[in-house]
Amino acid sequence: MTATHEHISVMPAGTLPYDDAPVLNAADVARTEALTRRFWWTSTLFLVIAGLLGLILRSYQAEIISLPGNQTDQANLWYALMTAHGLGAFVAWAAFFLMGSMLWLLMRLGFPLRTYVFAELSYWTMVLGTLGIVISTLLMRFAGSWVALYPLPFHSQGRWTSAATGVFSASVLLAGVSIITWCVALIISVTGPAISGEQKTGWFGRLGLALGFGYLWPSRFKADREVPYPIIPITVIGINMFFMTLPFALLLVLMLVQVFDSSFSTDPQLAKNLLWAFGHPVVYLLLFPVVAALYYFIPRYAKRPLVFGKVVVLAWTIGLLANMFLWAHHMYMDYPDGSAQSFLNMTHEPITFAITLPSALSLFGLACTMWRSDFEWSPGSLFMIAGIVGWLSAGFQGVLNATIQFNVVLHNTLWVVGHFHHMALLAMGMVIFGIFYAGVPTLLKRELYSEKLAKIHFWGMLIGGYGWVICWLGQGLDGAPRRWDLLPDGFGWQIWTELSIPFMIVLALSILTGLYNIVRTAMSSPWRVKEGVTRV
Amino acid sequence: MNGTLFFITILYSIVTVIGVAVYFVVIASTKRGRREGGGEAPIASMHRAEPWWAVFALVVVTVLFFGTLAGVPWLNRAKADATVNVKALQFVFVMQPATVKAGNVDFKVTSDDVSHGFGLFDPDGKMVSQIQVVPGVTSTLSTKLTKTGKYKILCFEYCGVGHAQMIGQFEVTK
Ligand SMILES: [Cu+2]
Ligand SMILES: [Cu+2]
Repeated sequence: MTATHEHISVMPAGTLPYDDAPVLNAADVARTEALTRRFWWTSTLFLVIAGLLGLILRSYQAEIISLPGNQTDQANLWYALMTAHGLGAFVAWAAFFLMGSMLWLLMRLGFPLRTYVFAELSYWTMVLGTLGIVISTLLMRFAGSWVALYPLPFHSQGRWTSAATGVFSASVLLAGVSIITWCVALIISVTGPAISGEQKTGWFGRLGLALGFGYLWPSRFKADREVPYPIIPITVIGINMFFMTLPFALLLVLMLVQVFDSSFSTDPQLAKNLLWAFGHPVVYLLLFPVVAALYYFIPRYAKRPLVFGKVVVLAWTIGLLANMFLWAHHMYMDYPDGSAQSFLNMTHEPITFAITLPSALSLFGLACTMWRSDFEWSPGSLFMIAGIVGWLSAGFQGVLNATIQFNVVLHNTLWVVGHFHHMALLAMGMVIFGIFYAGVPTLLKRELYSEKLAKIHFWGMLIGGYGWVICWLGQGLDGAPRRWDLLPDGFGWQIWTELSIPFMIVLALSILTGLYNIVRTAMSSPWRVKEGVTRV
Repeated sequence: MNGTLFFITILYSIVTVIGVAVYFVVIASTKRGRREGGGEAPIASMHRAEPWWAVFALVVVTVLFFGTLAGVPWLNRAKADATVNVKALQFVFVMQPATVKAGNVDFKVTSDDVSHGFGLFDPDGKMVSQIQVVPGVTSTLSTKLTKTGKYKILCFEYCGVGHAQMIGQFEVTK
């Protein structure tokens, strides 16, 4: 292999109106692919653990299994498992998988990492942080939930020590460092010379180009190459998470101070704002990379460029700004007498509404791209399209949650639990599996072990997943509160929990089938890639 | 089911069915696309439609914002006929008084330990309203209670191991 070579993408020659880099450096390709594979396998291991915890949590609620110890021990262990499950599934699986995938997409688009230091730091801090979360919850029984709503971590009623709170805070802080270093890696990469020569425009000019400003003001933002659309959401989330991880990191540091000096304390209302200033944007740590992946893959499957204009670029700029000032939609039900919180809540409602714009325009543009195209249906595209439909159907729920009048009856009900499982697994999770299937030939240099197993995975996840999520949505619409290890009798809520179990089993088995398929693929002999198959 | 929740259920179902149906039409169109070998999409007209689609989305959320202002709790408080002082603590609600006459009631809720949630359920087990209880401040939930009988309070913010035991009660009389 020479130092540089042609496209590795094997779309038929001459039909690539897409945005891959014209030339990829073989050393970058090999190193980035190895790194992404490491992110993929590690995050998938965390998925297995977090998924298993989820199965235990719901089975306990359906009273199919019990946990060790007396009733209080069981309750605390349940909440400790819930804490681990939430962080494990959301951050250590979904976010971690997507963080690795974005390094790969960047490279494919001609924005290889300019230094691997930050990506490596990101990987190892996430691994260490996840281990610490496992230790503090499963072994030390920290059960504050992922939000660790201050000051609960210091009022454990004797169920966990302040050392457990310390290990937990430090571990989540490590995960935060992982996110920030990943952002640094991204930003260094997109502000490199890929779009515009360094002598042509300054650092901020190149950042503007990566945000797509070249489409809006071509005379001001001059580029050698049009910025590929997937770069825009990647840049947006890189900037967003760099800043919005900081408030939560500060809170975690304040909690660590209190672990060592019990006379120290923080204002609970302030703490809650610091938490949610991170807590909403971190959802987009999943969604925006998913959107970037859809921008990358859907045009390839549709065999035509994305049907996007300038407005979508403008929408992403609005999204970039809005994402930093909308967290109070998680605090609508906080309006203590004489506090300014209600004013903040009121301003964050329209800002939250504004962030529907990038979603609305993306869903529109992706639909236009697919419209009457000779679309290639494969496991990868099937999962991604299901993910788009999940995004649409879960997105509407988000708009309802963001409406104060509706939030009065939806907040902290199981509807919210249904909503984020719908969004995280049936929208973003579907796309994650889509990326997995689409990336297998390129990253593993092997043909997928079985298309049939992939289909079983798909239908199982679709049917099991929706059945399972609808049970939560229904429970929530009936008023059932979230984070109750066991729901009270007399409200008619328990039937939904029992109904969800068979769906959950179908879901779990389908995901296991998918993982088996991918592991078998990895174990088969390499370089036996069939000819004439579209690779992306 | 609470009236607002019923409305949400209907609204969500309708919007989602329409949205998903549109996407299914798009998915189905790829069949024809395949037959025709992926003919050119009407890209120019799609580009022209993009700003209109953005305007449509903005109109929808603007209508939603102004249409629901009357439901923002802190902007729409009725004058209270009675006040109930509630102390939330790990893991009980202490209500004073525990009996009120039907009418507009203000619940003044406080906590000295951790955050709790005050989730109000009527005698039929239907959710009425809720407010967050953050330690160190007083949070006032104003609501109109017309049904008589025993109401329940469920804790609506995770507060530790006994969170699911945290159920309070009070009575509304004629
Ligand atoms: Cu949010
Ligand atoms: Cu509670």
